[in-house]
Amino acid sequence: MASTAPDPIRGSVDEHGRLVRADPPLARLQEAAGSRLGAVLAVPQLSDIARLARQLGVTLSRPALAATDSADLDLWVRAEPLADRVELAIESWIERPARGARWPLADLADPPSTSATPAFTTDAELRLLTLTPAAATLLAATAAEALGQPLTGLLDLRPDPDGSLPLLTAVALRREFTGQRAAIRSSGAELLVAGEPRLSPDGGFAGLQCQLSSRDSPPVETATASFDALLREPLDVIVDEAERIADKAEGPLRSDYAAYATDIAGAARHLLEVLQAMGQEAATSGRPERIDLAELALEAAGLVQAQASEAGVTLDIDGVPTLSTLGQPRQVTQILVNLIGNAIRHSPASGVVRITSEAGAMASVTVADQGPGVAPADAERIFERFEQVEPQGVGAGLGLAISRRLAQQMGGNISLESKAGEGARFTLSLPLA
Amino acid sequence: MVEAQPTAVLEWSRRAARAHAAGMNGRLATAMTDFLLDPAERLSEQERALMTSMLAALIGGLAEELALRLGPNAAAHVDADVLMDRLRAAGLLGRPRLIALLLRRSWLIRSRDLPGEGGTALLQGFAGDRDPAVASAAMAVVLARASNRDRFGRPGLSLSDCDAETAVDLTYAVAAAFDTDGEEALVAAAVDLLARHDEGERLEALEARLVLAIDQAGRLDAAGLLAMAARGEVGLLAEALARIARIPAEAAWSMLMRRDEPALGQLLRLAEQPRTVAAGLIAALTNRLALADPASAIAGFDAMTPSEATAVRSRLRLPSLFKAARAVLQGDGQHRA
Repeated sequence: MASTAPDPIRGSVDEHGRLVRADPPLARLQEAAGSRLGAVLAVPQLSDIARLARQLGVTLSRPALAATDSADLDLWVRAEPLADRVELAIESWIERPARGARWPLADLADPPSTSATPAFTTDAELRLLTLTPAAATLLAATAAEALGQPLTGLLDLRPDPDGSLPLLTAVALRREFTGQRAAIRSSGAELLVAGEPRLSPDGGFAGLQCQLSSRDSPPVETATASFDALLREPLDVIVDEAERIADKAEGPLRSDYAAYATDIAGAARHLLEVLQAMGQEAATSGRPERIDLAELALEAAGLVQAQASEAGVTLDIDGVPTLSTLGQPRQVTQILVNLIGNAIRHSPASGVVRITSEAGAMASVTVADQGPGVAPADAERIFERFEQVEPQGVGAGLGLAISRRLAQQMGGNISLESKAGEGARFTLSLPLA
Repeated sequence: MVEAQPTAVLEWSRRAARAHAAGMNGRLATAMTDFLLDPAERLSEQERALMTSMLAALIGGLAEELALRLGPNAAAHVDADVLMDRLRAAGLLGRPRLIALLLRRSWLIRSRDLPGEGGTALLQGFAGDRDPAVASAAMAVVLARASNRDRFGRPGLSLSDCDAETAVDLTYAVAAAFDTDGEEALVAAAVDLLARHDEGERLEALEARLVLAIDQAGRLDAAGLLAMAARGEVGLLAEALARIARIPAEAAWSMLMRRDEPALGQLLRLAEQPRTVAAGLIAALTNRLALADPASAIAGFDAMTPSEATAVRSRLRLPSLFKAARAVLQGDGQHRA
């Protein structure tokens, strides 16, 4: 079949390596590479050719390979350096079936949101990349109008009472966030933004993926909550079946097989704890309410009494009988359960865990144990997600990180006083009501 | 992009360096290195003569072009032989891409003198192809090959035969070798000369474009490969196999030409050719490439597993500078896994 030479696919790369102009196929390839028109040319071999042409100052004409998620591309590229740019002319563009498996995209980067979920993603400069129809409706803007716009052009971000902007804190610290107050510029309607950062393969900040909800709506479902729903039931089944096997409920079984089943059940329960801990954080939203911190401390102690008894540890409740504060009762209880549970795990047999409620500048509950304590070098590290001072310790390592974040979202904090060998004192502080 | 330094040059330079390091005087060290070089790796006298001729033509042509831009006074002081000696003594001619180009061109020239050569017949057939893209690409190759000889029919080389990196390096080196004052004028002349350089006009680039056109016309098939091999169009064949195997063209050329029969078989495996086609290609290339043991070529083809092919392909697609550095380090025993 006769073929004629097609017109070259053209583009321009400026002196900073940015693809400032591109014919549609090249623009699409740039987007497939994770960038966009106006940003740095992200197709590696094209970028190399453009850079070399600029460095050498002579025209290059050579082959290049590129790839999309479904095809390999054979390109013949001509790069002509000009005063302030390099002109690219791709004179041959041949698509072939992809050779070899592609690296799978990280599922967590793309939560299973539906078009019914008001959600959007941004690039590293917080310009909108994608927008679900529900979000477009909520923002009273079409995708064509909104995409490429700065987020702050559509939303007026409102600071918390303490002046913080959770969204910006999340950007800076590469963490999830919830409860970012915002007003839609076009209508003034107030809503809440929750989300998490998107990271590039090298760990750099690549943007945000966010969900919108009205201020009075139920908590927004984040990626972690989605996984909770997806994984909890199968994990429950695994635990149930593994425990049945371990109990030899179906008849005689080799002891080592029963031990395996016990291990399986334990691991599945651990995963359930992880989901629960992550779900607690995701569920935080809404305004704090008046609660009795001392009563919640008593309640939390009751929830872990069985664990304490099994470990031979005594729980000693002390301090004021009532303590009015502002917070979310469910989250406060979870924080205290985490703190007291940790204290029990690190206490020696016959040890005492003292739980003291006090009113000062803030309302506080201090959980003190007689365990090995925390070295000063680890004092902050233990609050980082997945960090554990004792690598062999039980628990997901999520409790302290999430507990502190929950406390901070309620206007409080968790602090630590400890020296190695002298026990640890964790204090939950919340605003007085 | 150069796949790797030609083996003979690399080994020679290593031995020479070691000899000098051992404190031997220059003549003795050089003679020792040259005398002990593997005969199979040594350049033939014909190769050496062709390469020297082409290099002299390249340096001389560059010098003339620069002199024209510097003015009549400069032209009177240019002696191409002196320039070449200065560049050689300073080590400025030991550029892998340049030597690889000289080697390749010398082989192409010698192969066209072989009896029964019919490469131009195949090329002329492409030049008259019904597909206009193939025809125009083939015509460009024909013209480029014809321009590789001077008015006396001697093989030549010019700046337009060099890739961009070599062109820039060599132009500035020749300019720097001029025995005149006025560095700014020299640089300006070099810049002006390079402004006209377009590596897309090289013979190798034009051959790649021809193969691309043949591929786009859907005719880069077994019959096409066998015709290239039978007609001695080894340059086109290397480009074709590289396209099919998705490896750099220089890598395919190296695997074809380095007198390593198993490597030839592996190249055909990388290009995913059926065994019958591979055998036919090996047979067609036996005389052209002077294969001493064609059976080991097909053995190399048979022995390569799919996973090995994947691993080799991945390695061949690594940046050439990285591979060159690894080759040097491995040769000096410094490689670590």
